[in-house]
Amino acid sequence: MFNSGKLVKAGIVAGFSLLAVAGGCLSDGSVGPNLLTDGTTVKIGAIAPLSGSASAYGEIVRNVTNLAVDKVNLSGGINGKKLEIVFEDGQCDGKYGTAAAEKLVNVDKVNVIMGGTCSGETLGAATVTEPAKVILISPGASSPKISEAGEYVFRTYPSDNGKGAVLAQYAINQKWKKVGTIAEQSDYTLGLKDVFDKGLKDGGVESYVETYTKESSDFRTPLLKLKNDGAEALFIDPQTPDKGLLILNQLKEMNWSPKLLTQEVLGTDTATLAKVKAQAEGMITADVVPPEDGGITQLRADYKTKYNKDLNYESIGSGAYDAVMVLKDAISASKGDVDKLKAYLYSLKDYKGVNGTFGFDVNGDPTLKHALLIIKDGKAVPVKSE
Amino acid sequence: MFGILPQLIINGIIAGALYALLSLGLSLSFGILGYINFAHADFAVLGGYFFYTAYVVYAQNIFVSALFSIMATTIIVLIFKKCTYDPLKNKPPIIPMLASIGVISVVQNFIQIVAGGDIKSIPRIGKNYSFFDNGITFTGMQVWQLGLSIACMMLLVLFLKKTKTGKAIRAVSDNSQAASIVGISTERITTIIFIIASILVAIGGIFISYEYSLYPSMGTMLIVKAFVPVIFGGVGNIAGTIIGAFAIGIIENIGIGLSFGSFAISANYKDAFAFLVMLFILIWKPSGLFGEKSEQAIRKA
Repeated sequence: MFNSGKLVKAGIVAGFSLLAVAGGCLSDGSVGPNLLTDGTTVKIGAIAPLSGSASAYGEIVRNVTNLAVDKVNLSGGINGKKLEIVFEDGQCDGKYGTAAAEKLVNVDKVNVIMGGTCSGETLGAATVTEPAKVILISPGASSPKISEAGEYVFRTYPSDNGKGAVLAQYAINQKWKKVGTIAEQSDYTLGLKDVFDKGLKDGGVESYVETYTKESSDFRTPLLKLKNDGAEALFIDPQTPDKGLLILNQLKEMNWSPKLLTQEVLGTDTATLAKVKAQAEGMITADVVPPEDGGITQLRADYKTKYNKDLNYESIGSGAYDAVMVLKDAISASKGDVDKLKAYLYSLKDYKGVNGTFGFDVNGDPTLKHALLIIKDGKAVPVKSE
Repeated sequence: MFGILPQLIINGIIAGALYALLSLGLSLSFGILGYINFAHADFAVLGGYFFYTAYVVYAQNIFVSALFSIMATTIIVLIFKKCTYDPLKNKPPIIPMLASIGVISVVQNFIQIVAGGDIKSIPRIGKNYSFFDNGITFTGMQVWQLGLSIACMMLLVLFLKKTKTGKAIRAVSDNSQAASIVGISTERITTIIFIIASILVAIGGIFISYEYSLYPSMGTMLIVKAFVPVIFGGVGNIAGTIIGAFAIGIIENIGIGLSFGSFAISANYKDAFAFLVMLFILIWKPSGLFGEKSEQAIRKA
């Protein structure tokens, strides 16, 4: 008359569905472990490009972070507990950023992540951290898109809205009529390119843009097009310093020497600039400049002592240092509660960091400004001090 | 509009010479083995890394480094032949073809682990040449590249036409069963094909390291550039493959280089041109522009 087998099956399915729904509700409503009271250490996650070409600055972030953690732990940790950082490789790529965040959130059960260093990584990670109510604080991601990535997303490095505008204004002041841009296809570089391109056009400068994929290493034809368009200046906008170096090499091979503009990936990488010293001389870049009295001298010295290398990519390194130190204060003040931690960050004003004095605005962006720099003898120095 | 056309054609010819070095080995082995060795371009990348190791890391003479690269690449290719092709040679062609996809991941990951994932550039040597008020520019290395590639192509054609071994290769390529009946060892011929292909890809790899710099995964895109000329010219057709390689180089450079009023194709789509050409040939003339066998061979594969 009725099929008991079917009924049992239906019952099992219904039961599991209910459990799943209930489980979902529970996990949605619950807040992760308290940073201070649960576990033997204060464990937070970190995402940076540890392999591939972007590891040039991923390594800086990791080294500076470890240095800052040592400093925190030597001075008694956070409320007596040691700070521990679990690093994951985001490879400067959105999908790896997502995977890294998933691992940190689901396996390591952290509820604060410092990272990613690249914009793509950070945007990828935010898709995981935001719904899980995990704090994501990036030391280097600068795409304007990150401002809207979520209420739990912060950064200690300012948005490229400022950098692109400063560079475009420089081009306008130089009275250049035509400016070319060669940009890589990535969240960071395209975001900056858009701001720069708009700034130029608003200022009445003709802007020509060529983009290339992450896999490209032959830039001869796009460069030739820009040269043929009559560009007097060229904005080099790569995601990794290697690509910037290749572009400079290929410019030289085609005997084209326009005025050069770039951003911090190439412009503050002293290792790469040393290889093309003559060609890079006079190149203009824009970046956050750590004030000399804000602790950068100490950071340079500590870095040199610990790693026996000079601190490269100072603004990103300082961003990482500031992120760890801000988190230390925030975790302590919020007693380890994530929502209080978030509120603390939003209310932060006039924090004296290595990158300057800053607080966070409503988007979680730091109130830091960009300055114009010029490459002199393989190093970026502020334009004004010329 | 045509102001940059001569330079685009020169860029295309230089790229084409490189593609030809990769395509020839692929065409030969496809013609004889009956399957596509997808790992072919990765061996070129490996050759580039061997060159980089000797020339940059151990600061050896450029010719010594090149010789080391050719020898090391050949040895590695023969090891892979022993491990992957030989055990599978009597299986349907799809099996060794799939194995070659596995080889790609072995080679790329090996490079990633040993050399790291960053881009390796070779320091520039030689001077740059420029003519017509910088209207046309190229580097000394590119002249070498073009000259040596053409020399390799001519030597290969002469070898296949004039020598006994070359004739044997062609015989096996035409009909391997008949060739073995008249006493040609297909085993030996296969090994020779692998050696020739290795030498060509290693030379290609050295030029790649100069032209494009090196990174572990670059073989994935290069194999397309190497494969399309084979389809273009017709499988096993050496002259057709060479023409195909130059055609791809020129088409992709002109494709992204020329603009018509406000219409221009971004450099992002450079690689798409090779695919477009392949699609066009497969639809319009599946046997290749100069060949009869590719349709058959592709169906078999």
